[in-house]
Amino acid sequence: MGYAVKSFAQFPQFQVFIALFADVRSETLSTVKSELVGANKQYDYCFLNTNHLVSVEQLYSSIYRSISNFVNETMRAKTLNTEIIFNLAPINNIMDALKRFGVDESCNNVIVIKVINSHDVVDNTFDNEFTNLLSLLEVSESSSIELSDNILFSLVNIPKLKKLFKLNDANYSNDTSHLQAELTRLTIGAALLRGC
Amino acid sequence: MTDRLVSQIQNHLPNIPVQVVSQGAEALVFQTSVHPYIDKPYLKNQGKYIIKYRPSKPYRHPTIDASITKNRTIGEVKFMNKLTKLGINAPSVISADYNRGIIWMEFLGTELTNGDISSLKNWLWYLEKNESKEKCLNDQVQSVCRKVGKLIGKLHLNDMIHGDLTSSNIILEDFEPALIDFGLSSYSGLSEDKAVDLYVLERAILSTHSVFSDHYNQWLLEGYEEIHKEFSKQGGTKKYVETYRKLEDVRLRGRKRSMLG
Repeated sequence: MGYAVKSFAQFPQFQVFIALFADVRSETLSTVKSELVGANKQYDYCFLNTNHLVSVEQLYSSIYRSISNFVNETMRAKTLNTEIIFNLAPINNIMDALKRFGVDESCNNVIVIKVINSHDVVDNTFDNEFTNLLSLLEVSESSSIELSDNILFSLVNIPKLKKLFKLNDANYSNDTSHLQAELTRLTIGAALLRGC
Repeated sequence: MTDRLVSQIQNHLPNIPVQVVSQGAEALVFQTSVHPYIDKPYLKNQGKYIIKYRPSKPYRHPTIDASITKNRTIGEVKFMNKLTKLGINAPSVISADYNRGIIWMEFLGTELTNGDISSLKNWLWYLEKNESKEKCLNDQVQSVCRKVGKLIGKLHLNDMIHGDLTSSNIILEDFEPALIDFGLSSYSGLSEDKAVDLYVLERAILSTHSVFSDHYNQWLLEGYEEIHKEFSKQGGTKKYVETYRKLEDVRLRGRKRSMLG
């Protein structure tokens, strides 16, 4: 399926590479984790598990705020990659956020994000990133799937998400077809008010 | 003055086209066609969004100014998020930048036939200007007023105070009312504060819709009572009686309890 490239009207100076991979082996994930801890330059991506992601909008909201913080020099985390993870979380602790949203050996679906300066983008930049990821994650092209609301909704762990975002007491409509929309609004709100 | 503030926001939000919708003492409200981060958000209105901007005040000490802007912006986002969580109709938050005093939120409302936004005020004014007395007091108006009363009742049952209830701060979306503008909102369980909230609305209705204000206010209170009765198990009836009694006091003495301030 490949990858998606997202850009924000407010920040044309950046382009965001996003890809979703399924069935990544747990052993590979632990390698990724230890390489991330070791700050290996090859692994300069934001890796997310899909347990607590309910929609593309929730993800974009965090990327947008992270880039905004990066531009305004108000980042809380050291790197933009970690800032994206931190801005997804409703908890005001970067380590906790990494644990919940970062690579997790027990979740084989991985979202990979990289924010690239538009000046550095050449014809094959994104293809190269994609190929690099296939080898890092030890997967074939077939395990890359489209990043869409339907897919994310099928991968999310709703009870865990509700617990993490403290949304069990929220008022939901009886029509369950609105659940994704409602959870999107509530998770974005909770992350926005983290630590406030 | 406004031009300077518009150029400020354009500096903060490059490539975002903005149009001034309204200006208050503390904030400017803009409308834009661009969502900050997604084309098809989970919102009723797509392609229309609201930006509320609290500019810094040059007459305040810079440190105090920054903290006031930040805290008030956070307070408003918190209030709106709580309403979303409770399922009380109000715009949802899209994004916020506390340090710069910017809130992105959902656009609510539609356009009336005369091109105005469908606030309760504009709708009632439209009817009062163009329609017969019967039409101004028909079942639909009554039902909308009651719904507004219920909405405010729901807010108060959760110990939340709007602080600036007027008919222009109530937006109708398919004749379902929603509250907007939480710049003066607060939290309180006191019947005094709730009564003042109601009194402010009562006075606002009296001055903006004077001809039929008696009817409107009566229906609003009926709706307010109705929702409290629905929650009688949680002490709704008792709360209603208390608030209503206080409202009678407030009517006699005015909004301020003390002569100060």
